[in-house]
Amino acid sequence: MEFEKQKIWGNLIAADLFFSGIGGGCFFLSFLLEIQNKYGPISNLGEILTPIFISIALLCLLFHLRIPIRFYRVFLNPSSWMTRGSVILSIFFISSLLYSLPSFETFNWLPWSKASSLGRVILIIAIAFSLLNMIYPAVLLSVPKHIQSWEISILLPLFLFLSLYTGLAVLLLITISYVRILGDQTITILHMLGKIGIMLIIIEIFTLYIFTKTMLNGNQPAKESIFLLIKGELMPLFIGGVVIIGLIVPFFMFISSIFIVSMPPLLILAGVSGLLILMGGFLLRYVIVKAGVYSPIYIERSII
Amino acid sequence: MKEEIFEDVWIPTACNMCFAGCSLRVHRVNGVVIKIEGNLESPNNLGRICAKAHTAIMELYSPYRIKVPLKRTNPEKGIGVDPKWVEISWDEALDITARKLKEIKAEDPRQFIYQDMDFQGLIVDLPWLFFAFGSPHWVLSGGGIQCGGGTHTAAEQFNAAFVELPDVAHCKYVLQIGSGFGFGSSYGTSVLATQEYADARLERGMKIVTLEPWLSVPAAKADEWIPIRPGTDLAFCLAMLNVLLNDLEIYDAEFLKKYTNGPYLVDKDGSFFRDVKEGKPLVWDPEDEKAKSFDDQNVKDFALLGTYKISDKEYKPAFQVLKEHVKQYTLQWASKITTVPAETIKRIAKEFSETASIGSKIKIDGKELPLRPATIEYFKGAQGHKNSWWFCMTANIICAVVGGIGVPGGRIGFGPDMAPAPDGSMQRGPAHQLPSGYPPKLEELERVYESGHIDRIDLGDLFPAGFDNCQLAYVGILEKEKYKIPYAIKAMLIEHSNPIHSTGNKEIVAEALKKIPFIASIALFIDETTEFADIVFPESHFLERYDFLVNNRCAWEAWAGKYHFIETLRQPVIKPLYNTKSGWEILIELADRAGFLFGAPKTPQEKWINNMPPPGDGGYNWWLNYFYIGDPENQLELNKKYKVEEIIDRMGKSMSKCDLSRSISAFVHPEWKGQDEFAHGIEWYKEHSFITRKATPEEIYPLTLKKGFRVPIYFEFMKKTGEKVKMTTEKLGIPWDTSSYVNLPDWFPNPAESSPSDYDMYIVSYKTAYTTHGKSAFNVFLMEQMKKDPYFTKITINYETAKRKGFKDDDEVWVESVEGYRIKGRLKLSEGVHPEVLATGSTLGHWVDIPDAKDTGTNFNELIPISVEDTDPVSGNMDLARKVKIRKA
Amino acid sequence: MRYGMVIDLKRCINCRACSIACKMENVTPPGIFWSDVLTFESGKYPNVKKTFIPTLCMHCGDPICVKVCPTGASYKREDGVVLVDYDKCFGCGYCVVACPYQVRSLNEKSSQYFLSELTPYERRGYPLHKVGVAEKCNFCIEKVEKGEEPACVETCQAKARYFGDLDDPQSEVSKLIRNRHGFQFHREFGTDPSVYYLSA
Repeated sequence: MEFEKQKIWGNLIAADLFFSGIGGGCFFLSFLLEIQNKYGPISNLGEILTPIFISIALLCLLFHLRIPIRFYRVFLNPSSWMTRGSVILSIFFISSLLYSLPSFETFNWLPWSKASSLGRVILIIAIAFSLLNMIYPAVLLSVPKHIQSWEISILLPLFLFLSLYTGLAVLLLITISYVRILGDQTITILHMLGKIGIMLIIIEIFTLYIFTKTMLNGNQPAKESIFLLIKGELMPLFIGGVVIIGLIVPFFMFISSIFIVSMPPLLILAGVSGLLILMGGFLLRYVIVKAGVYSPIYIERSII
Repeated sequence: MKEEIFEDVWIPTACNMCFAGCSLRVHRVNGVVIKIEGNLESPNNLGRICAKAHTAIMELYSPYRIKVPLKRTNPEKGIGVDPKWVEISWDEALDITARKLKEIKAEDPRQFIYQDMDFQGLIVDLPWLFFAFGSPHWVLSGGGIQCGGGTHTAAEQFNAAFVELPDVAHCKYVLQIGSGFGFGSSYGTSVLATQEYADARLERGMKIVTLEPWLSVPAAKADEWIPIRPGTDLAFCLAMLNVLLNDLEIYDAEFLKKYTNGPYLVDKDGSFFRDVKEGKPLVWDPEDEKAKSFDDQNVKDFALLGTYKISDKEYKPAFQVLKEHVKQYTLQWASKITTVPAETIKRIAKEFSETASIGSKIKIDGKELPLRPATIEYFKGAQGHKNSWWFCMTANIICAVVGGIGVPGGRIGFGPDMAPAPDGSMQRGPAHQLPSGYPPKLEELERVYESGHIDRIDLGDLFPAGFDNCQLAYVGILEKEKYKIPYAIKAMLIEHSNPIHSTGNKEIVAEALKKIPFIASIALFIDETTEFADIVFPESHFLERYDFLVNNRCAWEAWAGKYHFIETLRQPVIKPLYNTKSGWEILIELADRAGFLFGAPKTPQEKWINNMPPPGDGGYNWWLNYFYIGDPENQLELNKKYKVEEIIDRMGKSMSKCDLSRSISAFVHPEWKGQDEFAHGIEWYKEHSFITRKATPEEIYPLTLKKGFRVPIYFEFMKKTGEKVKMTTEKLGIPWDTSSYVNLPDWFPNPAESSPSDYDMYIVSYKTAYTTHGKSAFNVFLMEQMKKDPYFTKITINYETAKRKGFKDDDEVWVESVEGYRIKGRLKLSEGVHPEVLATGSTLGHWVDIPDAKDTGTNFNELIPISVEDTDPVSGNMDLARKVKIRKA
Repeated sequence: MRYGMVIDLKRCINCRACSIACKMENVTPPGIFWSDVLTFESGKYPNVKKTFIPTLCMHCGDPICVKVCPTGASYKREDGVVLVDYDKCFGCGYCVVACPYQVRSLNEKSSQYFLSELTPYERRGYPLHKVGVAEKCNFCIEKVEKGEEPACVETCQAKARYFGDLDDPQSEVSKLIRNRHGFQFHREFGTDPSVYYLSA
């Protein structure tokens, strides 16, 4: 029996989820770096990039709509996860923007700073919404319960850690671009990020493994979605893009980077792995969206 | 901005998307046809319509329609050759064509072929062709010749009808063989039959057992699907008959004695023992111990069994002869040929005969009738073979043996006007309008013998017991010397017919068409055959024209409603969109310009035969009066040209005044005779759409209610007819197989049985409820549905077979027949098909340049040879079960 | 009053009249089918069956499409009919993806059946649709309000479709569901469809 997969959502929805994930991960990790009080420039840049990522996410959603001019209507149904997601994105956009602006001299005149009580309130909101930002795509996809592969208990950790992972990639790239300012600190930071990266990769691979195994033990539509990924038309993107380029290669890059202490090779490794992670991160969102196989109302059986 | 509605009307008319002619109501708003629905008041379809009727709108508005008359400027004709059409006026197109017709009529009208597939137009087409013009050549394409050979000849002899059908309203068990009747797809769709079958299955638990080579819709819905090798249904029936007569010994003795020729005494040579004076067949009265005439009022009982000595000669009742004869057809023998397990055949025979409840009765409208609620239904799948005639007869014999012919629950027909022949056999009454196979046309054979020539281009003279042989017209054209045909075809008029695509292998038809110097085509679309035309007449769509009596008495669907007669007016719902005319208008114009519209017959009445002047004498107006306008007040003036509406008006007003004294009077309507309340003019019909009345039990079940009829279980005329055919063909030096002219059913294998063993697969074709003609593929909405179906545009093959041969789903393959014909298609693997069978959707594989239709699916007909050797020598049906082999493309 | 439909799978013969009647009544653009018939094969030769299942919008009692629609364009009426307001929808496609029965379509781009021209029938009918929005079966609610039945019910050759008030225990549909154990598809999703099926 042939199973149909969803054809309505594609690049732009994947990109929307991708950028919102990066935004959340980037902000969260930037915040973790910030509280160490050592990596100011990186976290500042990470935090200010966040609203840019979020606005790209919102723009992707806008361009996905067939009638973009009605975009404002996305906020109108509180029980819809698309409405909720757009609200989350919007609040996150505002709070991350407001939180990060005071770090720059041009915005000194703002009546709050990162340390002020207003700033702290904004921070709490921003952190909370960065987490929500990393979580809501999984919930959005899990609402159509007849798409077995969009299973919340798997997508939630998968997307959460993926968001952190892609956020990490952004920080890697930021670190490299600040090498002049950071000097030798760069190596320490890159090693630290590398270790976090290794942990995230192991968690991602483990989650993907659980995902695959759960689906293979499920009913036929569930199996179909995995077959699409591991031997069907999405195989090159999944195995090649997500697993190898997005996870395995960066894994080995990170491992080897631990033993490297000289700058140029480390910078190259970091830069390349950052780009590969971003590519793999986008592709994972993309293949998950594309492998949404519908459960039909009736499944043919080969034995009556 | 809401549109202002200045017109919102519903107009009743009759559908033309298949043969059924369902009653429609068409919605026109502001000059645009927007919806078609069924007419709730009509018993024809009880307010429901099939998918095709709905899509008539897109056929009407299709931009591929021919909009203006065309003339060919490229003298070369061939498949894929550009005709290089130029647009011409109607006058030019009609004049050119009429000139040719005039020449041919004066010289020899046999040189003209009317290639037609619009069965609803028969009423007006055939008098024009057969009688006003004088040519006997009515040639059909796919829908007319692949399917009807044995069917119609059996219907004639068993029910004095053109078509037989199960009496669903009283039936409990249908053994359905190769037929989609009741499931949306037989010779039309028959919305009504679908409803009746569904009601019978759901409300009365009617059981259906299907014999099919693949899991078609009937097989999928049936209680049991028995896969069978294509073309071997006759073997199944012979074994079943043997089980009934010799194993279970279940038969309806009463019925056989009174209503069949079972008791007729047969001598050693196989002929009936006849009385010396009147030649009537004799029966043995066991109580009086003497032979008496079959219709002697003093017969006390009829012997069905035994051997009787009369004047030193031995005679047996025909039933005894049949019983002994079928002993050779054992279950094991049949199982080997059909691949159906022996126990299954026996079980079906048992179920069938037990459910038939021999001896049971029912009261209908105060009349007591036998009730036999088990029957056999069959159509193209079973009878589309070289053994067509004998398959159909055998299936009917089985029904007759349990008393289930012409009775409630059994196999009935639409033949209320039957008249018994002197020997008790059925003859279709004078009101029957189509060619016939019974009584055998021996006078035609005699004429051939005397003259040394064949008269009919389709060799019809050599088919005294059949008439579905018109595909042999192409053989006749190509081999006229071999078949002693003393003339050549000089012109052909095509109406709605696409023989190159729908008959058989296209090269054969194309070669034949190339030999016809002038071809004119009345068509909606430029189809594959119209590409060979010299003149093209753009036809008005059925929503744009008038037609009448479209539910004509051929009664494709037999009874409309619950046993109603019906005749409908087709009226235009919209003015013709383009510069088109209806087929009838074109025929009138051609008759006028060719000089056979006006005038009375010139032959003096003393010289008339069967109350009719010879064909070709008398104008079309005269013949329309003769057949349809029996009321002198309404008759057409012989030298005036009338519009179609006026003719319809007069026909309608004369419905109750048909003159049955005009025998052979093929086209009158006795069901309305004398009933002036049904005589209406066209204005009445425009509002009310149709006339209808319920048939009486005598009209529905005449066999047991009218006196004197007997159905055949023994075909005494066959041997004698075969001898005459042999004699005639030997004299003319024409090789001809007469081995199937025997008096009792025998197994006649199809050519497939002797194909070389490397051609190891059979191929069959099928249709759906939303495809009827080849032109279904030109309809975008229908084509969309065909493509959505998982099987239809592909070639279905059994999973195991495919695995064994190394094929996967969607593989592209070449399918090649023994003759070397090939088609290409994609495979669909399925469990629902016999391991030796490939099944492919029909009406596809077009090559004419209409988007969507072009190159979608594959054309099954390409694999069918058109030849005498692959034709049933008795009925003329083509053989459709071909052996093929497949290989990857 | 809750409008509902009953489809008898035992009667359905896959004639596609319902699918086409719907298309002709509503002039749906190429490739969009508000009503469809699916074919499923089960078993192993020779014990094989084909099941034909007509599908259309289930007009669920608890519709997922209404829940997920961010704009409020998809809404459910008092009488149970679920509709799409073409003036509010912006074509995100969430409802199309979320519908467990895959009976919604997104009218993605302007199209017509014949490349060369737009037939008068299409010219009249396509303005009833809007490019860019989701669309689906609406139970022919305009016909129903005039006292008629949906186009698919009216045309069904095998009398396999019934339409009526599910809230009225004496209606034909309620009786059929009771007497023939009518079932709903995908009960596990809790959508409570208004379309019931009688088994084949």
